[in-house]
Amino acid sequence: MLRTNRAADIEKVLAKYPTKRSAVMPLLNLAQEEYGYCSPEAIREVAAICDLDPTEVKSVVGFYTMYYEEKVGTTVIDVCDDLPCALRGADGFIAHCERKLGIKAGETTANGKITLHSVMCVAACNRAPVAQVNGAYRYDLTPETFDQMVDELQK
Amino acid sequence: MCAYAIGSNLAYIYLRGEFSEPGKELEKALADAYANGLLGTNLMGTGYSLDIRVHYGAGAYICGEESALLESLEGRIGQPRLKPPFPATNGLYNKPTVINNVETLANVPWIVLNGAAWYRQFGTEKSSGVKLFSVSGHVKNPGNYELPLGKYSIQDLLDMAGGSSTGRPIRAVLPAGSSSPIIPAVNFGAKLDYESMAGIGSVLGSCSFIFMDDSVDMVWAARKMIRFFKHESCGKCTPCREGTYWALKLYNKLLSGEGTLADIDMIGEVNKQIIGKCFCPLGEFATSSMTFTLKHFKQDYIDFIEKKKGGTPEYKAELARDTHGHHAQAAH
Ligand SMILES: Cc1cc2nc3c(=O)[nH]c(=O)nc-3n(C[C@H](O)[C@H](O)[C@H](O)COP(=O)(O)O)c2cc1C
Ligand code: SF4
Ligand code: FES
Repeated sequence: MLRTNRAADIEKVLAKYPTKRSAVMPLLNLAQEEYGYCSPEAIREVAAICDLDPTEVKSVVGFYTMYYEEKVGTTVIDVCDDLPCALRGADGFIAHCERKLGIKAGETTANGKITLHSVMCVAACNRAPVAQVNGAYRYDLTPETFDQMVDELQK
Repeated sequence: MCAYAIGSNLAYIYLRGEFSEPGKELEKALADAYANGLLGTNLMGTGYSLDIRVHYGAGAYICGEESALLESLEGRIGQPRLKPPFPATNGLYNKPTVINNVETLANVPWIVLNGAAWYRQFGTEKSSGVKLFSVSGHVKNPGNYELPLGKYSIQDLLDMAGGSSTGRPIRAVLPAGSSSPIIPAVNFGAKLDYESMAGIGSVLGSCSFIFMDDSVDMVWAARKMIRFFKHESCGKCTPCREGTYWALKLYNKLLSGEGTLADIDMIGEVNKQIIGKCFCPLGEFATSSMTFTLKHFKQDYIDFIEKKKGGTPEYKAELARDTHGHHAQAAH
């Protein structure tokens, strides 16, 4: 239960806004930290905290790309293949990532460890190819540094 | 200072959700400001109080549009509001609200300290001050450059960024990212100010300059941009939602090698169905990539078909990735 496991965090989030509804996005972040994705249960809990209908929370989850509606791997690797990154080799790079992981972008490795996404510009176009690994930036990636990182994660 | 000027005691910084890492630095800076009496209650004995709180988005470009941002901050999906009423009268929680970019606000202390005349010595009559230029693409030293407006040309900016990184000549630049009219290299003499950019049929906008060398096929580049806007369309209005969908379909057809010359006209037609019909500027932004690559680089489109450039393994892989690769925003 979010309410029991993250009570202090929930209070902090609610205190940031004059309405409970405004807390829905940060609460979804907490829920996602807790459950790994925005499960139906997570959505119901967040809805209850914000005094909202679960369908309203579900529409928020559906709208924003960073909320996962389905289970993802322990590590989510978001590789940018938007125009500026693509000018610096991002398409070839992400093709390499797919080969290395043995999955297509959008999929999760069979052991449930790594999910690969292709994402739109993450505002680090000057350091392409670039990825966010569970939200943390990894700049100036090469097939070699990517393989190293993946080997580490797969251990 | 902005909050003080309008008598507000509460400010939010809306940070895109992808910035959780830099966000930690920001939150630390805010905590320092609280600790040093620069934020909180009764600031420096004035009786004035101010709270600044950080709100994170969760991956939606449209939430940069001010009214969509307010919706998002109120816990809703980020779809723009009908204006009027404008945020200045009916903004966050229906209260008067001022929304500014952080770069705008960053100018304020210097203007207050040194005066407007001092600030105006930078820039031109119509484009006063300095601006951050964010340079990416085929340049040796991509990154941010702060320059006075009106002093340097596009070519100067390119030179400052070290020139072409590929050894090939630069062919064109997008001066304000994917939403701006592309500028062919013949116009690189234009000065970096609002009036000069308008003079060459483009804009200064966000000043995110994406330089492209002569290896770049404009059909491919336009498709990347349309893909972005299709992905980021909030779905509220039909011309943008459906228009970007159909436009992407046409570009995908070209890239897959199945395009015909008629598809080029069709792209122009779809484009016309979007222009001037959208609820917010995003739909309009989406048309730029089509309008201006067609205007300046139509031969790329014709060559693409006639010389059968589509259907390469690379393009096919790119298209395959797109159909299921990213975590798409649900259509509403
Ligand atoms: C689709 C769209 C996206 C936008 N994204 C941003 C953004 O990311 N950051 C920003 O400061 N303004 C963005 N804007 C502009 C804002 O709506 C608003 O005009 C601006 O923040 C006002 O601040 P300023 O006057 O200080 O520039 C966007 C506008 C549109 C239509
Ligand atoms: S133009 Fe696009 S982004 Fe703007 S309101 Fe319409 S659908 Fe949404
Ligand atoms: S295009 Fe990849 S970070 Fe900007």
